[in-house]
Amino acid sequence: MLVECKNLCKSYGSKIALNNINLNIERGRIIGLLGPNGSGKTTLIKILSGILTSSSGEALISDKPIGVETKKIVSYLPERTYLSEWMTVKQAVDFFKDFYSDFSEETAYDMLERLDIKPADSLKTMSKGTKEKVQLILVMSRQAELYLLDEPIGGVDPAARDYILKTILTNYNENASVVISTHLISDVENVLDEVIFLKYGCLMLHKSVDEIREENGKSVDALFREVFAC
Amino acid sequence: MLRKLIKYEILADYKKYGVMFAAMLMVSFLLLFFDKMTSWVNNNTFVKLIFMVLSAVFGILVVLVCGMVLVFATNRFYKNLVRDEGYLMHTLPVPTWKLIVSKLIAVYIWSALAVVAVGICSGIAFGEPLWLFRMIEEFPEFIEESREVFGGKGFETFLINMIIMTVLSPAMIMVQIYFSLALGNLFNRHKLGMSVLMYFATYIGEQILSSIGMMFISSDMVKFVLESQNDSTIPDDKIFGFINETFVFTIIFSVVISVGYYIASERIFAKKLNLE
Repeated sequence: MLVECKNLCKSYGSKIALNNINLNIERGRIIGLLGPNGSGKTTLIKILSGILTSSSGEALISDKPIGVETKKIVSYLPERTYLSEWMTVKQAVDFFKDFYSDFSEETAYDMLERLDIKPADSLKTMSKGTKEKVQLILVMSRQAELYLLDEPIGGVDPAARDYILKTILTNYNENASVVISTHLISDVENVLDEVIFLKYGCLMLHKSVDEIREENGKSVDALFREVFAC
Repeated sequence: MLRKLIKYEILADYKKYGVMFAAMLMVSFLLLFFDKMTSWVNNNTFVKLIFMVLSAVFGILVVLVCGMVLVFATNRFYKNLVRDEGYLMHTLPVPTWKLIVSKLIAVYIWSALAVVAVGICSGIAFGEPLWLFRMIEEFPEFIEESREVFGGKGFETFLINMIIMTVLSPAMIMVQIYFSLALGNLFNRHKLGMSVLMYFATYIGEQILSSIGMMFISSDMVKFVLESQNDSTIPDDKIFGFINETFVFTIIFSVVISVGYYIASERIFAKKLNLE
């Protein structure tokens, strides 16, 4: 098992963000982490990436508790831009190369070239969308075991979305899994193997996309709209 | 990994420091030029006025360079570990203590460079570029002369204490700021405001504790002064003895408090990180 969450809880003061989550994620899967705003998607991703600590319960990645060892095998894309503004694209690539032994410089430069992003470009002068593309390229240029992508296509134009999804699909290996948190279900539905529905911090559903289609006779998008109807 | 972290700490700020050092260097050359010019044009009032203005600008730049080390270091820590960049830094496969220590080492590097830059620029401005190096060279002689004047009266201990305090000061100042930012990070709202509040709270707490300690340390000296009020002078050994006791207390107190700040900051970022 790649990811194991046992009775995972997280609260901010009196507000419960995650409530007793029990979850297993196998290797070689692309999983959609879906739910309305405030359902706990980002909190779960942050706990797995080591940005947040859980209030109780346990999370294991490759049988290891979250820490330096799991950070070596987890590639995390947050929903906000996290690269330093003083950097050029080349310096950002060097940064990843310096700190992640699984980072492929060649893959990164290849993808940058395809998106017409020059290594000498300064991050300070880039648009938010371009910065997000650079981040995604850096994250996907790692040969990680677990990719945690929080809203990877939220801030980019529809044309770039297809490229990003293609990038995700072609850059992860069979031994790895990708967790994608998004609201744009219809855009990602075709690439997903499994979906996880979260609501008010509770796990509502964890099924394969095929099962949903067979058992419910619906697309993931249609089921989402039904489950989370206001 | 620590070396790599330090490398990026230096890369992050070198342009800002470069601009300041260059500005200081430029003003120091202008000062040298106008100083010479004053004698060439027989103390022309206008030239003297420019020299005075440049001297003031140079003084401001010197203060700015020294002060900016603190400002840049604080800003760097806040932006890099508490704000959005923290999403990258805290997911690097490095332990939290390395993130903090790399920033402390960078503070020392920039402080040392600022001292050297101020020294060289002052030398240029006042016509002796290598005065700082000459001072370092003449330091043993200064010690020897001082030993003759204050020999056996605690002067050497005083000097050692002074050096220790000078060396430890940047780390002590910074870890208190780091601790305040770490505490501010625990709040879900107004993190920066809470950090400032925490800084003043820790500062006041530290002053209260330090004052209590100083009361014990100074009681002997106060007693001695009261008993010897008819004497015209207080012996040097008593003065140095008192100063050294105060220094030793201050050093030990500051080190203990700073280690506490560092450990608490590291634990908060490792166990209670809150980048909401």
